[in-house]
Amino acid sequence: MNIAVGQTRRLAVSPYARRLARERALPLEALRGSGPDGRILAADVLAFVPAAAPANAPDVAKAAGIAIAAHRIAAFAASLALGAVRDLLAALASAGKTFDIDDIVLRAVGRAFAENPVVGSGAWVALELGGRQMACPTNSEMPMTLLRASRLEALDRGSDDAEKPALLSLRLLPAGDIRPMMMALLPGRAMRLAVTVDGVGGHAECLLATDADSIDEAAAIAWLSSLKSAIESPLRLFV
Amino acid sequence: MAISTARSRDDFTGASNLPDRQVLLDLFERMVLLRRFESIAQIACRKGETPGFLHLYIGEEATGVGVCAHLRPTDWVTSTHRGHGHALAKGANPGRVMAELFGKADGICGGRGGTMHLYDRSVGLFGTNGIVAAGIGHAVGIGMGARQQGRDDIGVAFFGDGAANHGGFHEALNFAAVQRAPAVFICENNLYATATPLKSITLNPEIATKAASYGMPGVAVDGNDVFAVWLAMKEATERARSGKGPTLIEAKTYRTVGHHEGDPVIGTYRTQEELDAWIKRDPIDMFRKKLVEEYGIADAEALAAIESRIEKVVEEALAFARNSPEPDPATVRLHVFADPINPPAALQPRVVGETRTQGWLDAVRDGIAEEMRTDPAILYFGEGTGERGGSFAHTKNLWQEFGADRMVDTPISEQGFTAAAVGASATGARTVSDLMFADFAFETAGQIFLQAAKLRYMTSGRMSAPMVVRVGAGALRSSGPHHSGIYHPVFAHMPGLIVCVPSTPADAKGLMKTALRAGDPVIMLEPKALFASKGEVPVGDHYVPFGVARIARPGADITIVAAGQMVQRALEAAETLAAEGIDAEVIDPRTIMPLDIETIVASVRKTHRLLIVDEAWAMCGLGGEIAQAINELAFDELDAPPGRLHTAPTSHPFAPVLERAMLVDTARIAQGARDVIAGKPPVPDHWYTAGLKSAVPAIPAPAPAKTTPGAPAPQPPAAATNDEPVTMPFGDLTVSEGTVIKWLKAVGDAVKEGDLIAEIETDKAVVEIEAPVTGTLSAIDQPVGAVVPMGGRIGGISK
Repeated sequence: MNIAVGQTRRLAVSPYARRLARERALPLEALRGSGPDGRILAADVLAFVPAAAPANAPDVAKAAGIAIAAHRIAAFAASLALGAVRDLLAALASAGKTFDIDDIVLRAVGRAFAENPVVGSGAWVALELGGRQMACPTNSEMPMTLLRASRLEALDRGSDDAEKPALLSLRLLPAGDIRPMMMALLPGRAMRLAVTVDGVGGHAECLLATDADSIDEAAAIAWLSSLKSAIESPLRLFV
Repeated sequence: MAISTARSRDDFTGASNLPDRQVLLDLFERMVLLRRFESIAQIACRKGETPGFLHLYIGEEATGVGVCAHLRPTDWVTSTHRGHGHALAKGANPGRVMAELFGKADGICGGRGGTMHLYDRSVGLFGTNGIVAAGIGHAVGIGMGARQQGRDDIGVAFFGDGAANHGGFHEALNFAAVQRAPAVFICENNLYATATPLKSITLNPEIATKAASYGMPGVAVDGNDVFAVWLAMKEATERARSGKGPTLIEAKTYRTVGHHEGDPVIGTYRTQEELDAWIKRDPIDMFRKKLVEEYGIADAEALAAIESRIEKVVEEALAFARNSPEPDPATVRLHVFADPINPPAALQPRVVGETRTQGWLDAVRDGIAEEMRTDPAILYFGEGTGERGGSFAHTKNLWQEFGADRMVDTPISEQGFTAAAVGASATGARTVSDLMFADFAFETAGQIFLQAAKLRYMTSGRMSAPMVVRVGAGALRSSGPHHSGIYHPVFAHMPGLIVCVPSTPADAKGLMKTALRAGDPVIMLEPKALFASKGEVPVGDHYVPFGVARIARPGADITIVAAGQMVQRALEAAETLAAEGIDAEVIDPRTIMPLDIETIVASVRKTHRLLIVDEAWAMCGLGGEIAQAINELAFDELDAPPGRLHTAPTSHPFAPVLERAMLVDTARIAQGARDVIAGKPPVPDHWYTAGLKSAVPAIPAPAPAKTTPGAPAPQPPAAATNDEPVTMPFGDLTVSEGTVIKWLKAVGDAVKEGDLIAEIETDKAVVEIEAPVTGTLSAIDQPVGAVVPMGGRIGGISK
């Protein structure tokens, strides 16, 4: 699916502008349309100063920061209790079925999108892995075992999916008691979610950053609330 | 001139002038073949082996056999929906005819034609025909074409009594008679047009007598007496071959089956008594009896031997048809046009050489003359296009060079002479059918759409009608509702027609020359508004290929597609836009079919914006066609929705102010281009889906343009004096200017109102300028040699 199709407010983009943006891996959400009713035209894409291909991650963030600086970013934080998740994963492990917290969070992200379609389509999310991104399915219809297999397979493949369409990028960090406070959106992503998990797996902190121009703030809050609820009552993720 | 049926039989009961025995036995054998073939076909039809429906010839065999006995394979017959008998009588292979009825690959038309569209070049079968009276005119052209090619072959048209009340019959007979065409017309009068009795639809049911209206002999014969038919046809054939002209033969006969297979034999329109009476006069039984009892040239056993031999022939034909394979569905797209569609001359690499400035009409006239000199088989049919040189002076001097036999002045019978053009062009000649105005093409729409366009396809490529339909087209200065249309989308809709809309004298000439060498019918729509235009035309042979667009102006910001007189308007708009910093590319497709979509796509890849400007109407038109093609082929190239500008969806009004409001002009094109660039193309309103709203489009009528599109504005008076201006008069629609060739008065001379004071020569004639008032010639503004636009001032008279 094209990114724009599932946007809250449908982006009007001329076919040629869409093609140019695709070729340049530019996020349409980052562009301002000068055509009728804000339609994004080829000239808008060409006028957008594209960042040079980044050599390393800090540069990506810097370039994206400059690009996004023209936009309003909204950020929301939430604390999650992971006790139920920890107990559930232990019970499953004793029954011979191994899952990680990563699987739970990805699944919960899918559930949050499913429950808040107004935010957009989250069929794929980009999992941030140091210097690269990995596209993972979140389909809530798919058995957890398949989702996990697909994530592990992508992990093995090691490709960079930074240019694959995905609304959200997700960063999972082991961080003890440290809370993420601020972060820029990645190019082509209108949402970014950072989750830090404490050492014993009993507690997590979430920071959700969104492009306020394309995602309504109330919708973002509802989305984060769905995510929190899904992770704190993880049994529902397996049915 | 009619010979009575009775007397014609009496003439040879004495048997002194009987042809030799074999001729008579052949007539018998051929009739048996027709009868047995149809009987077998009837059974096959009832079993569902033949798709479609069949019209059987049973009962009428004597006519087809008696007529065709005189014909050579190089003579041609045109036929009707009831034509299997004609095909077999003319010598077509029974197995291949049967296979065609079965829709099989080995059929004489490869399964594309079928029962009502049987053609066979090898035996001179021009075709059974699904359209009543359509083939009559073909036979006229076939005869004229053969004559032009130096052969004494003739065209013979079969048709029914129903056709005798059709315009195609009357137009063809009149044209044939006045042209002394080598043709014979055979009316098979079986008393009913489908189920309508002849007597109920005409007060003169003696069809042979209708020949007198056209000054040709008309003969009525007993159509069930093969020898009577044979004798009448003998004389008519000799007459046609020897150049004495055509004959109408009315063969009175009867079909003893229903109109088509499955139709009741008697139905609601015939009685059992009538049927029984005709069965007693069965042509085969009657002739068998004559051969045995009257002429004494065969006994019953000999005839029975013939019949059993024929039985075997038709059984083999049936087996052949059954065993023949179905046509390959993969071939369905073949044989719409010649492949390649362009003649070799048009595919030669173009050498850019010397050019000269020429007017449109001169250039095209030169092209036609060059082709007529090269190909002596080109005939030109038109109304007033002979000695008088055409209504637009568009055939000036051709009659003088090529004579009346080739520059044929026709009656106002578009259907008749266009049918002749189809017949001639399909049998070795080439023809131009000049219909004067595009609007008039609808008078012969059937010949263009149903006959010429389909001929190649329905014969699986074995025949074609390489004719040119030439018309003046498009709006020009209040030509009004019946003389202004261009209609190219209508023609382009029909598979098999090539449609040209040139915009320059060079292209008009080059396309005409290509058309006169092409393999398919070409609709040549020459915009009347351009007849007075001039341009650079290559000297020497110059062919423009079909399906190759011309980039009339290169540009980078928007593609404007325009044809015909819209090209010049688009170029003017492009200049206006250039001043605003918009660089428009103008593409002139030159031919609407084939359409060079690739050039348009390439342009859109460059400009990413598209505006189609077309003189024809929008509904199902060129704008929608091209815009959708771009959606399909270059969607990702579009930076704005494509726009289209068409002539308003009304008939052409007469009042100049209304006509200007209807037509697309330069200002509208420029605005349309700006709107497309702004991402808001002009929204058309041609759908008339007002629904519950008012039927009148809500868009207010645009303000009338200041200048007349397509016409130079009258020049202002040269001097601001109070004298009465002497002007070059407005006159012929297609003339825009003239040259002063003589002043008969000098400044200071006294003139009376109506005195001849000057002469101006135009492309068509010398115009005498009279004094508009009595007074003294006070000024000569335009000396001898000056070129003056219509309406322009040339001098003044003081009162």
